[in-house]
Amino acid sequence: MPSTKEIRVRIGSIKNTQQTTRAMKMVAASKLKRAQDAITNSRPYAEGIEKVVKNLMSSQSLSHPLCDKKDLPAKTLFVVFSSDRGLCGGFNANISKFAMNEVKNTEGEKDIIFLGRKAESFFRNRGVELKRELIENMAKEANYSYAKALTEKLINIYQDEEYTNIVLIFNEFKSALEQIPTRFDLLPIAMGEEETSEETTKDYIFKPSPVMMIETLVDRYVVTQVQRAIFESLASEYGARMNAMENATKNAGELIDSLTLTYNKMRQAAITTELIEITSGAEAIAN
Amino acid sequence: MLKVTLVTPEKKLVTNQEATDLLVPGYEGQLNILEGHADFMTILNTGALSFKAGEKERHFSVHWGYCEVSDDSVTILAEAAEDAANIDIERAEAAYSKAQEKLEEAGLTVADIEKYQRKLQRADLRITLARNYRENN
Repeated sequence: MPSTKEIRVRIGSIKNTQQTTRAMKMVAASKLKRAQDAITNSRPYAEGIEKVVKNLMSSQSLSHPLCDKKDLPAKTLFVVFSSDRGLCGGFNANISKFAMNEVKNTEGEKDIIFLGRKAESFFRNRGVELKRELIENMAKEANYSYAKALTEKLINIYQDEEYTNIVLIFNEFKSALEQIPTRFDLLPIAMGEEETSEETTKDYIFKPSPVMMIETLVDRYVVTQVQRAIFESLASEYGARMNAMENATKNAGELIDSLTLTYNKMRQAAITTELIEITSGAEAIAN
Repeated sequence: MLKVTLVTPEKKLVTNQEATDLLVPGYEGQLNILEGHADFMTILNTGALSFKAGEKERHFSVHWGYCEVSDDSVTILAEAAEDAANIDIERAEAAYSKAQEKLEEAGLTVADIEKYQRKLQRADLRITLARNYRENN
């Protein structure tokens, strides 16, 4: 049985922890808000670019080196988005397990690029040997220039080396409570069958020619896809962290309550014992 | 009346704004788009974009963009764009002198030179736009 003093010290230390988790929760909540806004704000641009690229490709029957399948033995490059820091519930574990599965189920040679250190250490601890293990820090904030720099790097790798596919693995943000690990095939670009809408048949004047336009547009299209993965992953991370910290704060509260109860009971018991001693002493003298 | 929409990957700057006399930095030079323009697609360079919304004239800096005109509605998807009213002139000037310093350094590759020249051009454009805005308001 711990002494009352020990319990008092413990309550104090739990209160400190609770303060920390509460602060972390609030920081995550405000970052989550910003990340969600970034997702909403990026949507019109991304949708616009996607529409143009798809319309142009199908109506002008164009092709682009990034859309064509490479005629080489399968070699896949995975890009796994996790976080640099922990304390965000199952966020990193979920995405790492999902990535591990995807990697196992993929045929041919495969390499991985990690964004965020957590998934990298997950793979390292499980002794998975991979040739390329480039680790980059995850973006701190949802911004376009980070996505652009990363995309340029990926496109260069795709063009200069013998990768036939580049796959993104990230958490898709559903809500603060729900993040879904997702796989997205970035390159080669899958164009899919677009329904020929009225717009595609319309007579447009092009300046410069469609071939030159698609040249610059396809790159931007890839950037928007990478940007989406980054933004979704960041929002998921903050959502998961907010949630984890809220639970931690709540648990700390419960622990404090139960410890306070024990503390009060012990104090009461000590007082009662003392009183009994005094009264029985007094009675002994009176007798 | 034209209906102008200007978006970037980070924000919506203009949404379905009724406007006249739209000037965009087109692929082959400044383009003036008026009501009744033919359906048209183009790529935008770095440059100034402006239009008249009622009595007010609005100016933006644009760095690469895609512009589509279709039935008098104009959609501009710009990689980066900024309202002249919000340009931080001190920051633009700092960027300008930094790019200039870099260009004077020895041992630059061609790619580096191009990169800093683009930066110089952007900063220059932003400074000009911000100055004009301050003079007129």
